[in-house]
Amino acid sequence: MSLRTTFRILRYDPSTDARPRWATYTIESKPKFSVLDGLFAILETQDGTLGFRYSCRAGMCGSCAMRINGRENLACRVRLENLGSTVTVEPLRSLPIVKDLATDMTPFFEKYRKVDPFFVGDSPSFAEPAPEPLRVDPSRPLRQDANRAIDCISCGACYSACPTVSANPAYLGPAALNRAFALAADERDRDVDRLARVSGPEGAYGCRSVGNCVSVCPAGVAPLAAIQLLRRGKTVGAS
Amino acid sequence: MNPGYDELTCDFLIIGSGGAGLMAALHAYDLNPKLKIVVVAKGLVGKSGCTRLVQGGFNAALDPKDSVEKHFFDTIKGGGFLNNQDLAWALVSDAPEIIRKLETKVGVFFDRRPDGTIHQKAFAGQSFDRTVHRGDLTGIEIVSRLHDQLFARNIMLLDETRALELIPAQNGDGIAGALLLHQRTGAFTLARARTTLLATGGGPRMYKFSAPSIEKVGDGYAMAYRAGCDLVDMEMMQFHPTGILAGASRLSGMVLEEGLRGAGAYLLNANGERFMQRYDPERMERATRDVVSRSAYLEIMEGRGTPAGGVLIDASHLGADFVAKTFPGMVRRCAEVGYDLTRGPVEVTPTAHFHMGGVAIDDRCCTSKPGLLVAGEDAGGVHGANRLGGNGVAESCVFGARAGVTAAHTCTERALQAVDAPAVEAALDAALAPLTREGGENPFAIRDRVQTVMWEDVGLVRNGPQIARARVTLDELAERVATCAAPNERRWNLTWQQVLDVRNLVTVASLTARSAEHRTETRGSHARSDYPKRDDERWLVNIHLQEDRIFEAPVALTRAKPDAAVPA
Repeated sequence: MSLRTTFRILRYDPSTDARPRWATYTIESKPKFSVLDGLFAILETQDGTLGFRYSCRAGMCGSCAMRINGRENLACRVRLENLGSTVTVEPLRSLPIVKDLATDMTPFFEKYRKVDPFFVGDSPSFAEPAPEPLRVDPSRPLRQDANRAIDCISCGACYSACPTVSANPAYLGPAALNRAFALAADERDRDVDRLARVSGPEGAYGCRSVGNCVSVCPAGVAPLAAIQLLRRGKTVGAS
Repeated sequence: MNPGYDELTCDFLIIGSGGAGLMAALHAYDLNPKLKIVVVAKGLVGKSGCTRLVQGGFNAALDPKDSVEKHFFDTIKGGGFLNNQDLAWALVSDAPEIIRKLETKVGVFFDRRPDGTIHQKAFAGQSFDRTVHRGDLTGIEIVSRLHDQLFARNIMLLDETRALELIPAQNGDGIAGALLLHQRTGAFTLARARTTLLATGGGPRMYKFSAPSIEKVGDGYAMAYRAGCDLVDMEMMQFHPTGILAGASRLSGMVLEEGLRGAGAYLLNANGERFMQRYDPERMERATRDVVSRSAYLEIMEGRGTPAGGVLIDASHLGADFVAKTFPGMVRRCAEVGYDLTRGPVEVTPTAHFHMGGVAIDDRCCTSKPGLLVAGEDAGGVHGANRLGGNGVAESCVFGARAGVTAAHTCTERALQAVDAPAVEAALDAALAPLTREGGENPFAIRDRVQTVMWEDVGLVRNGPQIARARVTLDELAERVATCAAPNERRWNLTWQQVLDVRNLVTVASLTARSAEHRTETRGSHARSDYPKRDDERWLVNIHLQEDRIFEAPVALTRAKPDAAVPA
């Protein structure tokens, strides 16, 4: 079984190209090939200068997020047999391009950092022995909400798909706010001011509830739901 | 034209951003916040490497009915008594505290029992259900949360930067740092450090079917070997029995987690027989990975495999709802390539998964080279001839933490060393050479060849003539690597990176084959069809490779001997 698939790839090298350009490649697609497999086929046998990012190839690391036929997804998780004979591939939006399909994730992680994404326990220092773990009721609704939010793999798909991010450069974006919610809903966390820090127009109240973040998330996370829970004060500090 | 390099000095240089690298950074920083710590990641920090890919979980004796002694005995029994027992003891005795740290300082969400305590599930080869987990995708949560902790600390992170070589000190006193290549810009940095930690991951990518992330190619072993370190047990390559078969996609070889077998899934041959009955009727599918993988391989070799060359894992009798709820990540992975794990069998193949061998260390992660620490898969000895499921992420976190403590306590005692300048120049020249070659070899083709040779001739079952043949081919491939070419552009050049990768991959494959040829017995993951018996009289020794020499040293049976009774 072999099918020909044509890739239209938006290519751009910021240090030499005035603007991005479309390049077209045709490959013999093999059984179960993903978009990532197709990109490797091009790199290995047709054009050794093609740029993209990869690591795990199994949907776990979030390195290969890109726009595939106009929609954000992980290249390793989209099978060519589910697409047409022509596939259009572009880099994520709202992020600078390093080379072709690889974007610079720095703005994404700078905003992530702004929500203080780190857990603060009773004894935060690794220089100290650990206390006994708390008992945590797994059926508690807030734990279940947080448990869903932590599935984020920080791939940037939601950031690219969010119209508020592209319109308002200061907006923290779905992934960062989702992380803030996961911590605010964590009964073990001792940083009790989290909610106040993400409630401004750059935070939860900047969201316009479009919901692209939910529909594109390859990890099944619903950042919009987390943002709405933040707005309603559904956190440990408030309960 | 040699582009030169800039210089960076630090106290603690950490090469690798998996569990070992991140735990080392956090421990060293908190013990001494004045230290200048630099973490170098081949991909994006937090995304690269394999701790993130851990699915099943983390073994720790937390339950009062369990004990570190039982965990220890399971570990060395599973390891065919080849383990460095001091390292195995460090693993099991630190594991509970490390779990508590991950839970209370890092905020990792571990699954709970209804009473609110940490849940522990069944894995293979264990006398107690001691595997702590977060669903069936445990590693994502551990590494994501460790990554978050970096944001609370002043630690320098170098994304998409690879280490090219360890650089010796000018006066010969150990390691002075490493030469780095920033893949985005193509710029080089000479990083000088009081202490350097190697934590890059192992070499299973040398096989046609393998589990690790694509960029993980045994860089640490190759650099350590070239720097003159002592590598031990390199013949010990673990094959996981259930790598998914996904057509021609590079998803093939990714593991379907061990908890499936732990929960009672069957392994079937193409005739629908539970073939483990033939090989280990007592433990069946819950036998250790070495035994199950080899059994599956023999079934396939004897013509009872599927048309695609695999066997089948079937969890459907456990109930579709149970499977969907307990293994959502696995169900989804299978569904993407056309299998319904909840209702029917999935085609799987043994897949190269973990390299037990590595750089010889002591229980503080020190090596024979002053200024060089090694932790995680890059280190050898913890697991002996076979690693138990759930002991891998435990090793990364336990020994990463130990390396961080060692660095914090010792690195200020060691002065920054002047570098061996010719070594820096040689490393630069070697790295740059492919860019100016014309009409050279395609490095991807050489990678494919290495993977086929190793799979066929130094694979699950090996013999002397096969290994000898592979060694000849690998020598030829090493020469061909030296003729590889890449487009002449240093910025984000994946072809160039592949040349650098395959150079290391061939080096590590050669070490693996050489060590495999030397061990003329069958033990753990090392199966020789020409020497099918385990021979404790002759082979209770570790094989070492250093500076082109191969030598043996007896296993120090400091805590238990092969005939010891299982602790109650």
